[in-house]
Amino acid sequence: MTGSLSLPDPVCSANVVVSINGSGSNGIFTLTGSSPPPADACGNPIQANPPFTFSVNLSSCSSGVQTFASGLSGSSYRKSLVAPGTLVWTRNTAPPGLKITLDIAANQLTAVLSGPSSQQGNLSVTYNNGASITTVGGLHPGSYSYPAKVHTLAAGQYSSVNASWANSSLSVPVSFRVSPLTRFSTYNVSSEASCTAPATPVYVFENDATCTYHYGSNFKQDFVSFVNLNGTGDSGEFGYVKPYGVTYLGKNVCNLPPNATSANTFVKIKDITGSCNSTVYSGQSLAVNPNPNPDGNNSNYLCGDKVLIMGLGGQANSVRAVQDYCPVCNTGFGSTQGHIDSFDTTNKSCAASSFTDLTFRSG
Amino acid sequence: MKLSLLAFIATTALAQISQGHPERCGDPLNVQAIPAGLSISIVESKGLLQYDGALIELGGLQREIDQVCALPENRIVVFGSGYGDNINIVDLKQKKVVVSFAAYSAATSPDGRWLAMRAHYPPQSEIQITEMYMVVDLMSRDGTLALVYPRLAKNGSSDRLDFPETLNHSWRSEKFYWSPDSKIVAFGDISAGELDLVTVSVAEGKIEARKYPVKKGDQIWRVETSSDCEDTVAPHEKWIGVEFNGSSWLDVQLHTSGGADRCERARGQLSLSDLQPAETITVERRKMKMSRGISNATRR
Repeated sequence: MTGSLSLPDPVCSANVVVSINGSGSNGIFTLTGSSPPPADACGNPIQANPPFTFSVNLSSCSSGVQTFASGLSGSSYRKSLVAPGTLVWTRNTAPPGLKITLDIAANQLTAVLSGPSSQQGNLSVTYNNGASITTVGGLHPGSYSYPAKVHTLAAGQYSSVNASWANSSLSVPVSFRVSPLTRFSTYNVSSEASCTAPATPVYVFENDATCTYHYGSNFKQDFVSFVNLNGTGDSGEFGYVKPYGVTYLGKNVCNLPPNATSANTFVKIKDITGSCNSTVYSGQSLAVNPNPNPDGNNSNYLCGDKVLIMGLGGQANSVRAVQDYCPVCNTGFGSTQGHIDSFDTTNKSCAASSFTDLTFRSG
Repeated sequence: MKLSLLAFIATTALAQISQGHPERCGDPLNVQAIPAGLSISIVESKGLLQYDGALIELGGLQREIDQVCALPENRIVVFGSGYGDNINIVDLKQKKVVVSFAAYSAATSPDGRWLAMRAHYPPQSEIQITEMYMVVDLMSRDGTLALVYPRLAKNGSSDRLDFPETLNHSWRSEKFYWSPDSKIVAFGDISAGELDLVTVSVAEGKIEARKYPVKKGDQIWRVETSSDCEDTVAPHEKWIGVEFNGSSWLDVQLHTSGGADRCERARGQLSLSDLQPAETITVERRKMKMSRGISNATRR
């Protein structure tokens, strides 16, 4: 059997399509994926590590529904997270007279004025809501840069920058939304090596469709508690594990072992995945509230949204991707109106999230 | 592209009771004193309560202790946080934890008797997990949690994993809204694409869930939509806020999620008699493959 499989892309609205081939019986085919494209539709690089295996329930000779995939997410092919979202917009008049470039990461607006050297005029640049970037008189042709003041903008969606100089005027389409002042805390998954409680017996499933599980192993009790609370942990014996009750395997594939419970049964995973079901990366992935996946109907953040984090002084920190749900981020903290958790593996502890807030050097 | 401004706020785990959330006890204006001689410390995310010479280990995992509330018969309820709400009911006379549970959005009724909450689930999930709304009678001896919504048939499954995704419920309020008389709690929920205002009556200990489907164009709405909202909000992205207006009416708001930048979509007024009893659903057990065990010794 040959065909193609369309996998959700956590950081791009268009799916990634890979070739598949394989064989099977009784409606269950085990297929191997290959030939992923070098980049997704948004230009994000894909570093392949085939083969990938999939199970598909055939509904006809030419179509089927994917029921199981290695890594369970279709994201196991992704090893590095993505180019940032659009940060720079530029447009010029025709004929040349005025060229405007807005770079929100650099927090800078550049105006290039063209014309006879004797020409002069007033330069005015504003955002679509009327917020002024600059108003300066008597400018001759040349290149001029100004602070874009994005960190001072009112919260909301911005759609254009409007500029005029001498006889030229220009509207530059832009698209970004300014969030209110936001607290950025950090989180990691629980590390069993840092836990101290006595060991307790557990069952650990292999993460495949064979429903094979291991018994006779132990996890530290406090590690078990943290993994059941948070959803992911780094065990000493099996590497990363998730509670049975939050896995695709647990919901759709394999019964619990005899005498086991959801509280003491886990599933091995290759990568840490957030609620967007995509691999999260230290220093690159964010958790938001409400849940950014489609079920959460989060009107501010959706899976894969890029967030430019900017300090209070207007200096850019980083561009990160929304990939996870933070259940305790529903309110601000102190003077902030928003709260976002940033995945960071710098610190390891038995507790999954007992770290200080994100900090960075300015300038 | 979204732009967020970063705030530098360092947080540390507290090793003492802040009593900074009196609303946890029901009355936000009544700051309760900590029972004399009681202290709680947090050691490696374990809450250790000391009282009258005894050391009582709290259940669950604690990052902060927000509030301790007094209950009758020398019992207390301890509200911890850090991974959602971590709640312990402690019998100081018996020097033991009566019940311990994790939850989200736990809210105490104004009279301090009832606690409404969303049942806990791990956030880092590969699957969509249905919300389950619970209440506990803090005055009861055993502190048993009761599922109040959705209403499940007794002959069906109550295992969340058995819920087909088409029956999943999602939370659509910023918090639970209690009536001033502590008889009704209201909140928003969405399931199968239907946004509902849900009320749960706990009067006289008889629990009854009712709901009202909130629809665009419903005549109850007195729309006050600003142009900013029109620019940024899709019609389906609504959350529900509630204020009780006397004993018979609810003032209902629809708004977007989020904090200060949220925008209000509509306001309306609903009679409690407009809400209909929530239907009972039967969840069938899912059919799955048998598992096959391998001794860990074999693996090694």
